Amino acid sequence: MKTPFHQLPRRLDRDLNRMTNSFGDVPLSRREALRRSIYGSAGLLLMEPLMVRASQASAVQLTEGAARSVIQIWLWGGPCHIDTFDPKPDAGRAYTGALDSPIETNVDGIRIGQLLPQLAKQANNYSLIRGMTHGNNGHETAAYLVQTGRTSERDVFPGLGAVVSYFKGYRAGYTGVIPPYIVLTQPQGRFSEAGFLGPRYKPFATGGDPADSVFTVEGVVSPDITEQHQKERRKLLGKLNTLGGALPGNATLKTVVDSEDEAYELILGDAGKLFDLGQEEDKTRDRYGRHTFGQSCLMARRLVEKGVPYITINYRGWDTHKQHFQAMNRKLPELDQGLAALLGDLSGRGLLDSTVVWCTGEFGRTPKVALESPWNGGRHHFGKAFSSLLAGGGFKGGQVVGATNATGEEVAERPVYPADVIGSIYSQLGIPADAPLPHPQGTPTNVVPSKSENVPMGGLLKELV
Amino acid sequence: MGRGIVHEPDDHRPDNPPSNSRLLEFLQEEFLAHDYDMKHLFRVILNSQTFQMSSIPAVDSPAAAANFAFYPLRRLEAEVLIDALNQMTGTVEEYSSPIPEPFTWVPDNVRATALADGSITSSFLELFGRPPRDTGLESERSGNTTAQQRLHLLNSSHVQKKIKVCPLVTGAREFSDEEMAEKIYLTVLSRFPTEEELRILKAHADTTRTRGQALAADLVWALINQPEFFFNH
Repeated sequence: MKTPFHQLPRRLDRDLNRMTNSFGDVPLSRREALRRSIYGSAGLLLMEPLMVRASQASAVQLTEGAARSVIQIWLWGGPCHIDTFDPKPDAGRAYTGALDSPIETNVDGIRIGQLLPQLAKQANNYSLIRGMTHGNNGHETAAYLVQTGRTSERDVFPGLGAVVSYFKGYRAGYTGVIPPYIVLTQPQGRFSEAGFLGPRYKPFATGGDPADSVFTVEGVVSPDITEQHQKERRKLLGKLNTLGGALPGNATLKTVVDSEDEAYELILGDAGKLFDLGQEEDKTRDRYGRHTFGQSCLMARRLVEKGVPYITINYRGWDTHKQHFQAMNRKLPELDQGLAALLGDLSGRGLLDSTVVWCTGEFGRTPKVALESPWNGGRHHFGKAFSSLLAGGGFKGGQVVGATNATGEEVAERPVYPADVIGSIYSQLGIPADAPLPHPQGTPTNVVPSKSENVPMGGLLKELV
Repeated sequence: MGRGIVHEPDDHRPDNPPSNSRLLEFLQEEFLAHDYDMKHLFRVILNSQTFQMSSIPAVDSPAAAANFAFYPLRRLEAEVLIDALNQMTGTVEEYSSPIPEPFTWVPDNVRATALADGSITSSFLELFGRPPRDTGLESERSGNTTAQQRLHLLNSSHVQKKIKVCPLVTGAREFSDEEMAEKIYLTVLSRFPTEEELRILKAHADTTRTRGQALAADLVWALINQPEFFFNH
C-alpha cells in the first residue's frame, strides 16, 4: 500500500470516530491503569511488580524521629583522617609530616588535629567515627558509595539527601517555598544525587558565594536588576503571554503559571530574603569566618531554622596529592572556624538536638606522606580507613566509635561502612530501615540495604543513640 | 508529538495496543518500503496534516489526544532549549567530562543535542530534565515545568549574561523600537509582533523610561520566558 500520507487524515478521522463510538474511551496505558487501580479494586494488576512498589511507597509509616534536618558537610576530594580527627603522633614524621602535635579536647581522652583548636573546645557536641571504611579509591565511585551506601552497578541509587527529600519533602507535606534539599553552593553531579528517584528529588544548588557582599543565589538574587525593574518586567511578561490567552484553562500552561508564581515568591517575596546574610549581625558573620565555607555554615543554620530538611555544603579543595601540608594550613583553620561556629550556634539556639551534622569526605588520604617527586609531600586517596564527624539530631556527643591501627592504615576495631552511617541518620529522622524505595524495575528495595544485596555493613551506630 | 501511537512508547505488549493500529501499520510499511530510511519517515510525518495541527484543541477529550487531533503542548527538551538560547544570543556552553582524568573538553561548536556521552552534562541540562540514562526507561526524560526552571530562565546570571551579550540587544541602538521589536520577535518566536504586542511594549517603554539596549533586553527576556518560546506548539 503506497498511499501518500497527506491523503490519510480523512480516513484517520473515520478510525477515530469508530474507535470512540465503539469503545467510548481509548485503552488505558499501564501507568494510567496503575494510577487508577491504587484507589479501586486492583484485581490481577496486583501481580504487577510496579503495583507492589506503588502500594509500598504509599504505606510508609514514618516514626517520630529526634532529628528534623540534616546538614551534610562534604569535604570534597577526601580529607586526611590523621591530620584531622584521628591523629597518630606516635607514627613518626613519615606519617604526620609537620602536624605531629595533636591537641586535647574538652572530652577526656579525645585528641584531634592541632589545626582544629575551636573544635577541640566542644568535643562534647560531636562524636568521631574512626573506623570508617569502604576500600574504594576513586572520587566518583567513593562519593557515590559514601552518599548512597550502595555498591550496585546495575542501578543508580539516590543519595541520602534525595531520599530524605523523598520522605520528608513535598510528598510528606513539606510546604516551604524554599526547596527541601539545598546545596551550598555547587552540586556534585549525578553520582550523588537523585538516582532513580528522578529529577524531582534533585537538590536546589544555590550557586554564587555567600561570602560575597551580596549572596547571588542563582535565579533568586539578581543584583543588577532592581526590585522595581523586576516588578515591571513581570508585568510585561504577563501582558505578552499571547499563547496563554489563546489557550485559556490549559492544564500544561497552568503548571507554568503556578511554578512562575512560586519562582516570584522567591525573587520578590519574603522567602528569598532568607538568603540575605546581611540580616545577620557582623559579629556573628565574623565568628563563622568571612570565607565561603564559614558563610555557607551560617546559611545552613538559617535554612535549618526555616525547617529545610536537608542541606549539603560542598566544600572543595581537599584533593591534595601535592602541597598537602600547605593546603591543610589554609583549609583546616577555615573548617575549624566554620564548623565550630555552626555547632556552637545550633547548640546555643537549641537546634542541635533536632539537627544532624555530618562531616565527611568520600575517603581519607594515605597516612604515609608521599615525599617522592612529583608529589613532594602529598597524600593520595585512601578508602580503606578514614574518619567522619557526626553530631546532633539525637546522636550522643563526646564519643569515639572504632579505631584504626598505630599508623592509621587499617581499621583495628568496629569497622563502620557508609550504609551504617546513612541508616543511622535515617533512623534519627524517623525513616525506618525497611522504608521502601520506588525501584524502577519494581525490585523490592529498602532505604537500608538488605542482607541479600551483599552490601558490607558493620551495623547501625547503636553506640551513639 | 510527545506521545506514541503506542503509549507509553517503551511499553509495547499485547495488552497495550496502539491507539491507531492502521496508522502504525502504514508507517511501518513506509519504513520498510523505503529501506529503513529514517529521514524519509520523518519527512512523511512532518509533512502530514496531523503533525501540523494547531495546539488549540477543538474538543477536550482523552481520545482526541490519543489520536493526535491537536498538537500537544510540549516543553522544549533540555538540549534543544539551551541550543536555541545559545543560537539566539550568540553564546556557547562549556561541556566537559571529568571522568576519567584528564578532563575531556567538548569544542564550542558542538550542540547539546550532539553530546553523545551521558556523563557530559551541565546543571542546565539536568535542571530541564535531560535523562541521566540511569534506567533506560522512556519516562526518565522529564518535560515538566518546575519552579526551579522558571527561576533559572527568569532570573539566573547564566541567562541574564546571555541576554546582555546578545546581538539583538547590543545592536539595538541602530534600529527604531518597532524594527528592534520585529527582529526580536522573528528571532525568538519566528513570527511578527501583533499590533497589540507593540502597543504593550511601547507602554512598558514609557512607564519605565527604558529605551535602546535596556528595552531590547527586557523584550528578549520577556519572550524567552513565554511558553510560546519554550513549548513546542
